[in-house]
Amino acid sequence: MSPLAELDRPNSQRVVITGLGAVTPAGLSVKETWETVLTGASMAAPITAWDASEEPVNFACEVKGFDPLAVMDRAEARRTDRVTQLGVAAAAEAMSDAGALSADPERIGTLVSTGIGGQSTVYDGAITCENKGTRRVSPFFVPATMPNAISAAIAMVHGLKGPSLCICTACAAGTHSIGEAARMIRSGSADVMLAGGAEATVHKLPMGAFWRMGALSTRVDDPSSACRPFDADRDGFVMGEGAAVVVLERLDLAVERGANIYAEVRGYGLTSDAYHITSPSEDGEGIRRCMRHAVSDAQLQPADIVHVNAHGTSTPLNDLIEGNAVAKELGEQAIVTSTKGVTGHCIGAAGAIEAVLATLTLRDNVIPPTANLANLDPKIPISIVSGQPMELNGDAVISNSLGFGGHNASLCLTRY
Amino acid sequence: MERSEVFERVVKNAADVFAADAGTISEETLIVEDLEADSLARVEFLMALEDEFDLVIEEEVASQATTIGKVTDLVVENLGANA
Repeated sequence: MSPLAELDRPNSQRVVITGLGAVTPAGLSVKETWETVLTGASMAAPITAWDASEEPVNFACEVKGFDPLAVMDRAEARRTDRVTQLGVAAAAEAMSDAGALSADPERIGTLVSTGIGGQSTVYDGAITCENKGTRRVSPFFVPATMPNAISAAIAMVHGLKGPSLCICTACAAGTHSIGEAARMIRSGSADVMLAGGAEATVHKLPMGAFWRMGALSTRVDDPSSACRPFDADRDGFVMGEGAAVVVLERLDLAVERGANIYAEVRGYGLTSDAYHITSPSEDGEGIRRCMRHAVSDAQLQPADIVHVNAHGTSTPLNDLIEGNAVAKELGEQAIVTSTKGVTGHCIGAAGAIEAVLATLTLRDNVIPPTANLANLDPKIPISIVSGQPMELNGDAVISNSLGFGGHNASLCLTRY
Repeated sequence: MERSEVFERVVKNAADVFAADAGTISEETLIVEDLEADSLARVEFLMALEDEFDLVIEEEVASQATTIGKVTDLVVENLGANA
């Protein structure tokens, strides 16, 4: 591959990734997650969080062994939903990884979002309200369930007083958060942003809803083979949970302080299908235009994109539409993987987890395999990694997310 | 119920709600200053006590009880009234 065209953008408006944090079904840290993802082994297994043996879908990709008390005290842990606890833990790792930041805390912001938010607290709160009356509704119900609780908690833990937001775009929330946070730095609203997503949807309420929608795999006889993105025999996604946070930093400041720079967030695209509340538009026009914007924003050509960490949920429709969109928009040099085969679909955290994995792909020059890909769907004309990891041959990658509501988001990450 | 038992149970709930060491909580412990209770946590503590003793205590009354000792007195008084 020829080197990428030089970016016409001042260093003060360029955004690099200088810290990574992740708590996922594949591991309680970035290192552990990456090592597991490279094995291509699915984390789907019977649910342990509650007795789900009678549920129509009794398996998921859970974050196992997570202890919120590692990042907050008992009182705080009781007053926050698991979604916030996961987000705070991922942010703590990312901040530690980034090292000492030089930016003024008033110029450091937080944009760690969720697709759905604190579902178990909503469920428990409704039951308490019904059975014991409004007098017993916890005063912490709202702060525990509001989707912006994650950004707020992270800001408080680290004393970050810059912009703080939450973007609720379902399964695209993590990608939108990183893209919009990068824009904030580019536009001068902040010097550093903690950005990403968190989700805690391994719970009977959202799982029942996704099942009734027909979105979940029902392969109860063999959970570990249930999530099979782009495979001809895929039948739905596997519920995941987790969080990932990246530290985005102004390039000139990162260089000045001698930060470890993983990659550059060079381009970002976002579009709407304006088509259906849950289905992607059949012609893939929305996600195609989204990738086109990301490539254009990165001042690159489609042929420069050598890898796509796909949304690749393992649902019949998503993979068909996204796969064809990638083939048409980017071309066959864009080698695809879906790491959801390992992690399951972590909803609002998914895009953030996948951005972390795409960043590590650039760092280590290796594309993880898509779990359970036995027979690529013949209707999807893409090159895809299966079985073993594949060497990355180039400097620019894309991470896609498609959210319910027709919200599309694409990040273009490049080697710095 | 003996006051000493009420006190013990009030202390246990305070330790739970405020993530404090029960051994450091005494009659004189101040709820806002020593246990760092904000307005939400005070309501949470009140709800915990209502559950513990199967009582209803109005917030306006509870907010006057600034120490663990005074809270214990309030519970004893309410238990007596409800008996």
